[in-house]
Amino acid sequence: MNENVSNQQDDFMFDDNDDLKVSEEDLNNPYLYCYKRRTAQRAKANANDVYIANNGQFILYVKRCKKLLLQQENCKEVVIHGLGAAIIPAIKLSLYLQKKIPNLVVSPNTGTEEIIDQYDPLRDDLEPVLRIRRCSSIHIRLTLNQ
Amino acid sequence: MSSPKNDKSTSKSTTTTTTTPTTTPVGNEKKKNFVVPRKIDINSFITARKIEISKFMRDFKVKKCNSRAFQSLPRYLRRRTMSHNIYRLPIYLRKRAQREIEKSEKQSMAQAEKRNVRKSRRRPAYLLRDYNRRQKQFKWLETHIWHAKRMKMINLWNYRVAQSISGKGVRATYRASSHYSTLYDASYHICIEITGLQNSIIQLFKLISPPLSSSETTIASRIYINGCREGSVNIYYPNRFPFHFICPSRFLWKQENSGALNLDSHQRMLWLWVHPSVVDQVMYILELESIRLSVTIKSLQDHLLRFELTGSKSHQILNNVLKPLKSSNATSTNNNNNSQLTSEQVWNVLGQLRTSSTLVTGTVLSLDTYDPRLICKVSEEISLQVGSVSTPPYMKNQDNTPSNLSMNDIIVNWNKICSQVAVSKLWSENERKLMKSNIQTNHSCNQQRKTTNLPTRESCKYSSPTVMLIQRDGALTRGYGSGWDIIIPSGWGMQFWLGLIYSGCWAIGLFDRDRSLLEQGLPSFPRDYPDTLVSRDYYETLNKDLIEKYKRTPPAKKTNYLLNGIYFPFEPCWNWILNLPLNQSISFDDNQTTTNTTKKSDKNEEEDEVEQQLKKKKHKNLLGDSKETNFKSQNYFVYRGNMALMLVSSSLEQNVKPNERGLVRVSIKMMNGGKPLPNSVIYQPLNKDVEILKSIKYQKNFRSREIELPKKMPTNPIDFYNQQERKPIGFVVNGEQSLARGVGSGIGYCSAIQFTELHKNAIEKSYSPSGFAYIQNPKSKLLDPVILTIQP
Repeated sequence: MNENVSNQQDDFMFDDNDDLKVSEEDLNNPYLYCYKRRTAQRAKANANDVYIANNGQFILYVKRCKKLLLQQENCKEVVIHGLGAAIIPAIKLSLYLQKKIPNLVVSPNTGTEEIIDQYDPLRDDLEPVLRIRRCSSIHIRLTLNQ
Repeated sequence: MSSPKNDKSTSKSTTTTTTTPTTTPVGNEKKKNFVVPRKIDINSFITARKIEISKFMRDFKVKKCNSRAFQSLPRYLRRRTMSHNIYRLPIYLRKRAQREIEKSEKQSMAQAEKRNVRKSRRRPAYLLRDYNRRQKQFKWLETHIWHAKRMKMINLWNYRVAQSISGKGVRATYRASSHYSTLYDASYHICIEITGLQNSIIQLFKLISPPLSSSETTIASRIYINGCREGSVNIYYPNRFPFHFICPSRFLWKQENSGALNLDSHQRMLWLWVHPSVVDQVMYILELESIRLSVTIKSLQDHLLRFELTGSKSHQILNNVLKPLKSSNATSTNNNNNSQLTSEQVWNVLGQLRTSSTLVTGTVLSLDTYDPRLICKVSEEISLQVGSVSTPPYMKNQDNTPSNLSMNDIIVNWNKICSQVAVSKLWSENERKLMKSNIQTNHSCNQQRKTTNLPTRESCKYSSPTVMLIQRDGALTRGYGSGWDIIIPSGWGMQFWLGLIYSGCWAIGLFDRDRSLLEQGLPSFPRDYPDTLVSRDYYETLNKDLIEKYKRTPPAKKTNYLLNGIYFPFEPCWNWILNLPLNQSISFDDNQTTTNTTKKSDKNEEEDEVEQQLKKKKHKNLLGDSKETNFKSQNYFVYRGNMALMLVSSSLEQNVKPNERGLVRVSIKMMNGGKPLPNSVIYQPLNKDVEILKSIKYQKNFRSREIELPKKMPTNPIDFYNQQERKPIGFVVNGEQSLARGVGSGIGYCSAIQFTELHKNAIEKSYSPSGFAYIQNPKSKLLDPVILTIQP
């Protein structure tokens, strides 16, 4: 069965090319397609996971991280996650915290996430298009060295 | 009754009295000329007497007040136990008191005979009869009794619906809907099954849905036609667009087996989910058109249930309750030939999904599952009480076979490899009957939970349900409001409901759901759809108590709305906003009759006959005597979809003019603090306000201002409208402090003309935000600055 599945995956590659028939121009035409970004897949967030949004307020993230690191006893580390445009605020946040809190070890980790783009046609004769877009991400682990 | 002597005397007197009134107005001269009639008409004479006497006797016999004999005594003469001991009374009252006591004893005896003892009243057969009697007018949902113990219930749309959960706050419910999962029983929505050729169904929907130019996608779109996704469509009365909006609804094409390839010549099915308040209208319209198009229409009321799960945990919770049926034969070989994944495989792969908002809007998945009572985890206390186990042993060693396929690959290639996952048994009536017929008893379920093995599909003695899962998208980013809808065969409601509740869902009621929709900025039907007639009925039923309470309250203890310049504190009046006569019931009527006459000349006479038959047959009650009374529309309409968006984009060009009867839906966001409340009036900004707006640096510095009112308030709202320099342009239908956004936000409707004016002004005077306006909450004189944004 596994073999079959792998064969299928090969087919997907082919199918993906098939999708490319719809030109980029058409996809970005607001009269033909409506774009929706699906929520990115990620693991379930624990209390010490901080996911940064690009429009979030910086000072509130600082407060939250400080509270987790300094006030809660059983929390030894905080992980800051940034995806795409939120990478820069994530780095800023970690550096700011490093400056403010002594003995803070910062260990960043980069990765690639898959984001699903949904293009819904606005006309009846067009096919819906779904695509995987790859996007870089950062996961910064902040640990208190005591 | 009365002696002849008396009769004579009365007769004399009455003859004079009866004749005099006719003569009096003419004057004294006529009185002199009056001649006593020689004959008396005995019949009329006697009947007049008879009525008089019977009235007299009635007054005599019937007691006017309910006071007892001892109550006729002054207080200082009353004594203890006088009510049942006649010897405490003075002699002249004893006889009367005796009579009263006997009478009341008789009554109480009669009552006692009727009433059964509690034990017999609680017997299942008695209860069942009682329940059936109690739901004659307002039907109960399958989960009614569970709800009635925990929620406030309300009679709406011929159903008894859960209104709001008692004992849980708004904020807690919000938190549940965003971080956990809320569960709402939407089974009162009625599914209509439409069967026919694909083209004729499409034709049917062309009639009742808005024309192509104004809607994004129709029912014939390639997204929906293969049954992979559920879509939504707005239903209008045929040939009356844009007037006479009926309701928004959801539809789903039946997914065909891959064997039946030729879809065009094949009979296809479609489910249309309609709100119960308009189901009669929709059925009538569909049936009217169906005969011409040879399409069959069938209501699946009480055949299917629909639960709505909202929140990020809803997928996880469903995973705890739904377990695909195992089959003993390896059917996978069959699959591989097809290169199609089965729904079980897909569900297993999707097990790791964090939130359902990753899936594509409206994705449909059908699953044959085990009885949820065998699968779900139950708390220790409950399982002990029923003599079962909290986690069945077979659930502990679950083997989730990891698949080579990644989840994202499946989602992206859904149309190619998952084109059979929505094929469901639920579409067939026989299968539904089978599922309902042989449900395992609770006791036997509890016993089976102790065993080590689950029965396979073939060895199972009892029926197992097939459910359909439909992804629902929220309207906010980051997935708030998204979740799953599950469609369940009837009879299985309580089993699934309890399973979901045990797995951690929070049940919510109608108002909680409205609130959750408001958070997303979505209108809820019928409350936030002013161009439907049912919305007015809804307001009437809900506002009855409010208005009565307002009338009861003394003037010093209630807001004098008139002094605030608020004429419609309980229900928005859209005619006032549009500057139409207030009590104009339907101007559209003339329009409609003309269209009707033209139609009639074009169409065959056969159709009229059909219409007549329908009138006679089914819809007698609905139609009443005159058809028009029930099929009236409001005399205004709402711009929806592309039509609404076009209003704003082309506001600078002169050619596209909004209709004077048009409304647009707007979202309201407070500029600095405060919250919009329902029935607040939206006012336009004046030039001086715009100048202030331009001069300030930050929006939060913008202050509220008091409304300019005339010294003496006119009682007529139209006079007020004409006098005011600052015109009211709309109403807020629903609003609150938004917990998701952190600002007060709401939904409102504005006059289309005035709204485009706003935009024009903003562009001409170059200020931003362009949707700057004011709202006035009914209880205050302050105008609060808001930002309006048009919503398609």
